[in-house]
Amino acid sequence: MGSWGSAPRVFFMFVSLLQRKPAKMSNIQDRMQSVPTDDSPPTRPGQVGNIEGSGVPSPRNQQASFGASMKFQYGNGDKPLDGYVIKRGVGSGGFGEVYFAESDSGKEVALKRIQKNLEVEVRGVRHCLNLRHPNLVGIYDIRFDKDEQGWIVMEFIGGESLRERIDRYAETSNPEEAIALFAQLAAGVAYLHDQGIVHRDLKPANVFIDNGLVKIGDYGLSKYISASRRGGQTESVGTFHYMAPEIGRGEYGKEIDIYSLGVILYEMLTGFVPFDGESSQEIILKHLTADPDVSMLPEPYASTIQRALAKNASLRFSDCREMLWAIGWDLDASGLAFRKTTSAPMVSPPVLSNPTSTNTKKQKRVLGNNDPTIAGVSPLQFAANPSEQMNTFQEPIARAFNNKLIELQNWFRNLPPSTRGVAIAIIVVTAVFVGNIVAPIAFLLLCIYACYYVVWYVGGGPEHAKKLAAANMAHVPARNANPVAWNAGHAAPAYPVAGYGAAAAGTQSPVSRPAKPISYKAALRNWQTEQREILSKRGLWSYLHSYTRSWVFSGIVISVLTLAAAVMTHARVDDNATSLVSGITWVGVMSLLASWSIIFFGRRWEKQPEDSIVFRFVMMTVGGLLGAVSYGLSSHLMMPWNELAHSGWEQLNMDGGVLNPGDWNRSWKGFYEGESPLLAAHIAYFASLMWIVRWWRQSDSLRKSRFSVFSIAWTVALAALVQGFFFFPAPWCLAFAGLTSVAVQMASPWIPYEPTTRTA
Amino acid sequence: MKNILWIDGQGGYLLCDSEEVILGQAAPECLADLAIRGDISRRAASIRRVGEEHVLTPLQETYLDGRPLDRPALLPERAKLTLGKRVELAYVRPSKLSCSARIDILSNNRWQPLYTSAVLLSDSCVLGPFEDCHIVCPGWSSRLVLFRKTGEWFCRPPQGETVQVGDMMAGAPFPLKLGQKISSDEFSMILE
Repeated sequence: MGSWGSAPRVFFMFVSLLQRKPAKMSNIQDRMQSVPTDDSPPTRPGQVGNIEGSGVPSPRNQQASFGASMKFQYGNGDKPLDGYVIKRGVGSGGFGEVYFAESDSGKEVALKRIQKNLEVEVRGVRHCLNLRHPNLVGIYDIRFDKDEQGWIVMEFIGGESLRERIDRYAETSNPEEAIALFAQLAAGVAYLHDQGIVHRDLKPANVFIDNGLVKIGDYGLSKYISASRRGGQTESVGTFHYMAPEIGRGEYGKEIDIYSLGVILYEMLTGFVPFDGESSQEIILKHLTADPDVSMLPEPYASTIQRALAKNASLRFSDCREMLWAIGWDLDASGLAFRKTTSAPMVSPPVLSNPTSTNTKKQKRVLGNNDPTIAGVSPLQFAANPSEQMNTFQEPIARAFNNKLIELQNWFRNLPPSTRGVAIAIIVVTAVFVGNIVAPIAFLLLCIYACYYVVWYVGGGPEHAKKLAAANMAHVPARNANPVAWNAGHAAPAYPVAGYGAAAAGTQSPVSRPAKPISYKAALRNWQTEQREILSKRGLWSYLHSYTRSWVFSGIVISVLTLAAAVMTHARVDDNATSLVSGITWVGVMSLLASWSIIFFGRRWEKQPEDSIVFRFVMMTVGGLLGAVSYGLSSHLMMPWNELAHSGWEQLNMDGGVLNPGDWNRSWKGFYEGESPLLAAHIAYFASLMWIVRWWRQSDSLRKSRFSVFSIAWTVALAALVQGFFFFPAPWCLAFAGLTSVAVQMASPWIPYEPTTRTA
Repeated sequence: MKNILWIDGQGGYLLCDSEEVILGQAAPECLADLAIRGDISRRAASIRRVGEEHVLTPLQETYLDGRPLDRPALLPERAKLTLGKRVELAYVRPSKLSCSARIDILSNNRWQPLYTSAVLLSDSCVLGPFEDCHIVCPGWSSRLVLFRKTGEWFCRPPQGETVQVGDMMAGAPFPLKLGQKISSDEFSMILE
């Protein structure tokens, strides 16, 4: 190619850069100042501009130099070239100023003035004049003005450059999208290579994104980059970050583009370049010696980047197609990139926290794929995939119990909705009616289990369990690495979707491939963590607004429901309507107070990760206070608890005697006076109820569904269970729990889970 | 005034100070003040300045923040307008001190002629590197203010700085003239 003769000079330049004293410059602006080489003449006026930064480069900082050097020789209305009116200067790269212009007939174009009118440069562009590919910036023509100055007439790209896109990494990071853009970039480079052209200066600043279409610019010129650089005026040294090590030896094969692609892919996925340093020498040294840290990247990207960044050019991918294959993409007959649909693990960039990386300088990034539907598996199927749900219990009984629970949960989730509704109703009714039998029995069992656990723990149980697990892992890694996978295999006939888990576990190779599709639960969790961070950054006013609004709303919900209940009661019941209405009032007021406290704490807690023990404790304290208020309210309303306790349907079964194990829950000393609960009973009941239900989850903006009947049913069932310990007139305490749950859920804001898009 | 301010290295901004602007399709005999190359009606919607607010009046199918609009509506500080089915615009009043607003196209359509954003001017327009500027220019170090006084537009250079206006230097507010290059060490621009 045309510039082989210049190789020794370039090498000299490379070495001279290495020998230069390290520039210790602290701030960004300083670093962007030009560092002229010894042999470079002062830059001519009108050519100071250089977006790529003439000096010690750092990709992040290129923007900083942007405004400071925006001087253009031509301005709006100028007509340096016959037939074109310049509108404004766009930028200036290593090869000259670029303008946005309109032709006399209204065609929008970019005009690039070739800075140094080297015959060789013009020849290079002429060579590329008739290349045509959607991922290349189109070159329309080469023209000369009156001063014999060369101009390239090109397609005008309105969009941003990849450089700008990466600089916005924090807000735009989306691995799926990044890979799609990268594939287009590689497709463009593949086309250039197919035409026998090496780009030589691939870097994000040369790549543009126009309506989602990637366009590579500066290709005709860059082939002669080294030749023009000999003149020494505006070195595009801003690109050391993307330069292959062999460039120092003057070698310019296709492999240097592959290397640059590797660097760009790395930067697109992580937001930073693999080799960075305070000075150009440091960067070049790293290119020559250091290995990229890919530990935070999932497969297949980690290995793809490693191979593309091999120091030895012959070990890299031999061409762009091979590199695309490695990340699960390919080129179609027209040279456009497309994603191969098979082999899910290859194409899905999964969540991978970085357990082994020691690189703490840059914070660990989780490359999240929040889309649970990848590989064509629906969220439901993932949710039902038991192998995804890690069982953390070591103790065998607890584990077995938990496994059964998970199975039950999965079975339940796969029931048709109507059946589920019936099941919930049955569970609630059962809990209400037999709560005071089940509760003591459950309590007894729990006590027995606690004793057993202590014995198991003291007797060296945990060590034994660990050994057992380790042995299993060693022998049958694919199946038994996860204790639940075994269950999945057996349970498969009962609910077919679980088969996915079994299949996945069965086909996985023993060599650990972390690129497993992420589960719905994990994706949800990731999303929640992300959202919580956003919520925690919310301003005070928006925070105040969000809970005052919830308070008002819950107040309205409760008032409406209680008012309706009171009116209905009054209309239908003749004899003891007054006592019933006072019961309803009690329920309304208590629900209001409870829902307000829950919303208050819920709003505070949704900004942080769940800390169940602390939250429960706080809720229990609140419950104690509510109990005291309830007692006060009851005496103020002169609540006829004795009457109320016998007024409802409760006596239907309670007095039957068969189901009543001797008023166990009523025998607390000093708690009751007849059927009427005293202060201690109020406090005990409310504290337990607030403790046992994870109320904050119901007011969490990031809860799974806006309004969950299941949550309400569960709350009521738990209230019944508590009632089995501390007697409280039955329908009233349950009504309280249910109403509170309804009000909290209705009044709390809700951010629906969006699997694909990351909220910016 | 309905002129484009071309800022080198940043973009082109249509400055429009009329009480009411029509948004519509760019067509040979264009009826719209803000013409968009898109599948919309030639008169799709209008935005009128009423006091310190902007009122959006749908003339054809228009959505405000996703909701179909059948009557005039006040525009909030930030809003997403959808004209027709696909043309999406972002309306934003970046500064609390001024009701000037910027309109950007979000969908893959373009303004006709091709400029970056349209600015609906009330009495001032701030250019600078900050988010609360009407025209955000990354890389600048200070603000430049365009303001209207007795029906004419002036430009106030950044505090304590002088700018070159045509062949003169100016350190105080100067009237804005078409085709006159305004430049400093940091920027250069021309109102066309």
